Amino acid sequence: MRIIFLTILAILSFSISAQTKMEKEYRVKQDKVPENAQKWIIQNFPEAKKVKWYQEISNGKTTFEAKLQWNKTPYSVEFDSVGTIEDVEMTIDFEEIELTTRKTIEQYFLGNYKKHKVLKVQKQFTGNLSQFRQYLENPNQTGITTNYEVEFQGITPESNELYEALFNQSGQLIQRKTIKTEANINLDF
Amino acid sequence: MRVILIIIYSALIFNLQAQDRAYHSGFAPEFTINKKISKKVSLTTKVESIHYYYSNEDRIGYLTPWNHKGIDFQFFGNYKLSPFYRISLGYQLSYNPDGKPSNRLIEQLSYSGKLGSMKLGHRVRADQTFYSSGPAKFRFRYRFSLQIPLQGSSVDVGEFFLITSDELILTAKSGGSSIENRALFQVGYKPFEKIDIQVGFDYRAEGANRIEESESLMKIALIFDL
Repeated sequence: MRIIFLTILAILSFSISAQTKMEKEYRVKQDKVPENAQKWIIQNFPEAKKVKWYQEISNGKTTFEAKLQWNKTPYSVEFDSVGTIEDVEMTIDFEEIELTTRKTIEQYFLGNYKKHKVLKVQKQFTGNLSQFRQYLENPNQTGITTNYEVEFQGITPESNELYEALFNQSGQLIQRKTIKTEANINLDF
Repeated sequence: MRVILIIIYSALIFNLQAQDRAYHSGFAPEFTINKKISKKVSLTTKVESIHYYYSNEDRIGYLTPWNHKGIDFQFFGNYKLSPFYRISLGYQLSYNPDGKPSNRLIEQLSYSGKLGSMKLGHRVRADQTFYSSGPAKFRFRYRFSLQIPLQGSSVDVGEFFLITSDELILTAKSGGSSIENRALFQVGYKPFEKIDIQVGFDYRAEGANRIEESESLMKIALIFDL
């Protein structure tokens, strides 16, 4: 009986490990982060006290992410493996999106879903981010592209799903991904 | 936050053990398999066995083999109502040391969402237990649970996490009603994408007007989510 159980377990473990995605994200200490990335944070967010660093390995690609708060707003800053800035995301309320952009995004929701609920909005900055702090103080600075990443629940007569959508500065949809929501067996049973 | 939780839990167990009431402690291994059938439907099977190794009442003598208190076999059908809510209907077959099985019907509504990097769950459950002799037992339960990643902002393969929950159980049967509280604290590890291993303590206290009986169980759970 014990041998049968162990054999079943070994087969299950093998077949499951063969399907494992190579995606891992974990907390790292600051001294494990490329110096360029550390310098960027110090230059652009000198007042940020608690910066949490994470390393993500996805399909062989390594990135670093800093999570911090500045002016009571959560920021997430992503760097590549050598510490070059890739993008900055700032968590905001949906109502903080500029009015005409917000109206365009709302039109998208009304046109595509019977019901929707916005769960999280991040203003995403890409482009020339070397002087990001100056940009925050003077948003007229050129060279930075602003998009909005919106996490929402969308209900149609056929489906009820969570999505992550990226809208450009004028509120036009760039892309939409379905967020996989699996049951949490250890919370349910 | 994590340290505070551990201290509170340890203090609770120590304090409750020290008092004069029926107290038992033991070991409770459990094994769960969940299989997704379609986009909205999944099936879950769970086997849980409880073994007592200490009792301040004369409960050890007849608990053989392995000081066995009982074994439960659970079968659930689950339906996803939305990204956050699921309903489940279940059946449980239990064997106790007296050799007489009991049958239980279970109805459940569960919610799971995110709170920062933590996952939180609410579960409302009703169950009805029917014994081969004696009156049926009716229970209403609510459980709040948290899964806290210990490495990073989500639980990935090869990482540890904490699971903690508290459940309130109201029981009604002919002859009276009682209330039970179950506090669970476990450390989990994810060796593969679809497997979780959890080890920890489950403290259960039951009584009508005051705690009359309690038990501390060391739990080991193996969970397959296929």
